[in-house]
Amino acid sequence: MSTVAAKEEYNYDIVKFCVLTGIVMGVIGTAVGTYIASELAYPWLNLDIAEISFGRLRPVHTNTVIFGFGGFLLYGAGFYMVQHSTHARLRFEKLAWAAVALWLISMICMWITLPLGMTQSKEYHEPEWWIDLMMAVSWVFMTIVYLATIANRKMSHIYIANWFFMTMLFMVTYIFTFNGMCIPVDMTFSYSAYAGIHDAMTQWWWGHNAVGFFLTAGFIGVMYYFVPKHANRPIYSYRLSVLHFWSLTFLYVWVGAHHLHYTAIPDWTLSLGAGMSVALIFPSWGGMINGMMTMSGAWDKLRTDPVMRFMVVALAFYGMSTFEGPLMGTKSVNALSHYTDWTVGHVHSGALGWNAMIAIGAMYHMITRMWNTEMASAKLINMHFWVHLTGAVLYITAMWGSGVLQGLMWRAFDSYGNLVYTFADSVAAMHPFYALRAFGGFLVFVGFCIMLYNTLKTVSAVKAGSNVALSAAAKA
Amino acid sequence: MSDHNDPNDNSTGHEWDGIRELNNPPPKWWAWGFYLGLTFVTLYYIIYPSTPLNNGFQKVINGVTGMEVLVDGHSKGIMAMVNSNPYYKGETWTQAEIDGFKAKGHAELSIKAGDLKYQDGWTAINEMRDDVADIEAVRAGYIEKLAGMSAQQIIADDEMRNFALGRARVLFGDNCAACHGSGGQGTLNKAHPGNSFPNLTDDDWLYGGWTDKIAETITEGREAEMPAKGGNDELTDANVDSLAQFVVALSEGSAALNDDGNLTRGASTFASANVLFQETCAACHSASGKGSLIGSADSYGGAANLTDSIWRFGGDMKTVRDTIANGRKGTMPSFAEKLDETSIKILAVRIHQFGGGMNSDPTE
Repeated sequence: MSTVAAKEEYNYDIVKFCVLTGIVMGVIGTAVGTYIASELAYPWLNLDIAEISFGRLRPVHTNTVIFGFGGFLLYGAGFYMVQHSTHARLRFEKLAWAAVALWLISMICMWITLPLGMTQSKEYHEPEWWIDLMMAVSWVFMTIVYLATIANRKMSHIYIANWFFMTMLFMVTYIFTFNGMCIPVDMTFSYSAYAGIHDAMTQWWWGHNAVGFFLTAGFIGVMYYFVPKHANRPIYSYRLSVLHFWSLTFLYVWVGAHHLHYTAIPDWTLSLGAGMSVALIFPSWGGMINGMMTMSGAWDKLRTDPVMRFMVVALAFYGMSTFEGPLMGTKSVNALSHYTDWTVGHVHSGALGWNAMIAIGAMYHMITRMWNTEMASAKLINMHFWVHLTGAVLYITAMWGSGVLQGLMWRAFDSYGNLVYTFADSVAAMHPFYALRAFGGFLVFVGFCIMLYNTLKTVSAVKAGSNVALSAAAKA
Repeated sequence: MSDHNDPNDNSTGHEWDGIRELNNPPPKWWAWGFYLGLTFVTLYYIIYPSTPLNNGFQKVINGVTGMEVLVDGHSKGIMAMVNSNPYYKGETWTQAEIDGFKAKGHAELSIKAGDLKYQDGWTAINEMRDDVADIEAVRAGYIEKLAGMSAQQIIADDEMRNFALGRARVLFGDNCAACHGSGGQGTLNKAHPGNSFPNLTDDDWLYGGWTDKIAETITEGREAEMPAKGGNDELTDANVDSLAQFVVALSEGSAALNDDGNLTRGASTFASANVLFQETCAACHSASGKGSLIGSADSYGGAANLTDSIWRFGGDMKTVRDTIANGRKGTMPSFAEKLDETSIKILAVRIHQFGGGMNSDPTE
């Protein structure tokens, strides 16, 4: 048994700040998401105001949930687990705070500039160049803090969670930087450094790896620390973790091209992307299997512990999304799914099912450990779980339905070889699905509100001294 | 499984914050799946073009400009090797096209008549061309037959009518429905009457509802104008009011005119209004108020029939008064540039078959 540093020596202040900010980001991001989803079902909701129309608010939603909610979870959970898994206090704490502050300022600037129409028009990379720069500097600070803390570790081996986190830190740094290359005109506008298909290809090299590294490698890292820790079981297979770490890291960088099937990108590039996508199924599943098998002997916790339930259902969604994605990345399935809501459904099965649920699980875990308390209401965690899950399932199934219907309507011919439907027909047919999707998204938003309420109540109970302290078993 | 997961058994000995790692091998089914994925990707790369090669850059003729362009060299995949053109029976260059490029100054072309226009073998775009060709093959016979038929003949032939109506669905939806509604029902915009568009499903026609005339309207477009106060500046507000009441009465049937412009009903109430009507409105709307098409047998006037209960901009008193006082404009754009003759013929059939089509030219 190695010596564990007294937990009082860890820097929890920064983690607490990130977790609370992350929850607020979750509330804001899903509120905006619910609003724009409602705009699609009921277009009058944009009130003829350009700044709140779907096109302007959509990147506010995506950036707030991915880089706001997801980002603060990664910063918070990263700072938490790097200390716990190295038994060392955070290095360069001022730099860490600067990273967090810059990230928050970037989010606020993004909320202002995007509705005003200042955008680089690159999906998941919309904020203008100067916001990009702040985010990049923040990320590099985070990387320095993380690596320095690992260098300070009290044992020889580096835990697998940290491998995944480090591969995310490296890959996101260079892919974000290269995709963001541009020639600024002024504070509100810039030209991409790339033209035509090179711009498209670079964009999806980033676009898919924001998913592949930010939302997968980073979150798998989070999973690798919080699932065994919360279940109090050892990781099932060291060898599996090594195999799927290297294969996932190698394969993910290739697959961005599958976003551009049937475009002007050369066929050989698209085949490369499609092939690697299919080969990626099992490396992705490695993480799911290792997490699930780690649960062996602790499955009974699912009945009693809603936080464990969040984590395990997240893994199930992860397995489902990483099977669906490669299928959609092949040419023949993509011919149907491209440009349809199926893509939106797929993204949300990953985002609401996998990312949000593992993040929420990790957040509840950290809150109870850092404040050394039970949550104010276990019932509310349970309610959050069911509301979130129902919302996610409604959202995903609505988008599957509408996506496949769209794809089929666009390619439907009658026996004379005539198109059966106009584009407007397909838009009209989407209405019930869009209404259902908005309702699903609303439930997810309600879930986040429950979480925020429960968290604030817990923290204020701790301040008042009226909380129930965590049991010694859970504390270990 | 729990025996495999016994913390005292089979551990790597590493520990972080109480987390230990077991030394289990990956599950067999996972390992097989992993190898299968790698096998798949290998085969996929052999079958499809996938690998950038430094085999000199290939010269490819651009199918649109005829210019030679350089593309990156890459493996073409088995699909191209087994059969040089398994999917798309490619179009070839003709001597006339080559001469055309040379005339434009592209002197150094290496293409000859008979060369494929596009890169051969499997490519995504050839697969698309192949799919389109399949659909075109189904359509081609009908389209060819259709070109030689008049709209009247198409309507009389069950099969050709059904083909035309099927084809019209998207043609109408993409070109006409934005104004005339998805079912041709038009729009009556109460808040902004000027943004109303004609209903195509009734039998009330401004320019004529027989197929030739409908085709003419689509091809040439229409510019209609009802001038403010019918162009008669001397009309007072009171005159406008009494004309509005008269016109609404004509529509409702409480007033009626014969072909000579004499009141046959409502004479006691509308005598003075009819004088105004005959002075100011009858020139376009005809003495009987039946509009230019029926009342004057003029298929170019576009003046509405005021004696039916169908309204182009709305028939409530307020809107009618507004129409008379301030005039109206109506524009139907020309589709001559956008649609070919056959498509316009198909649309004429579609509109005729909404139910209100005329069987012949009533002005003859």
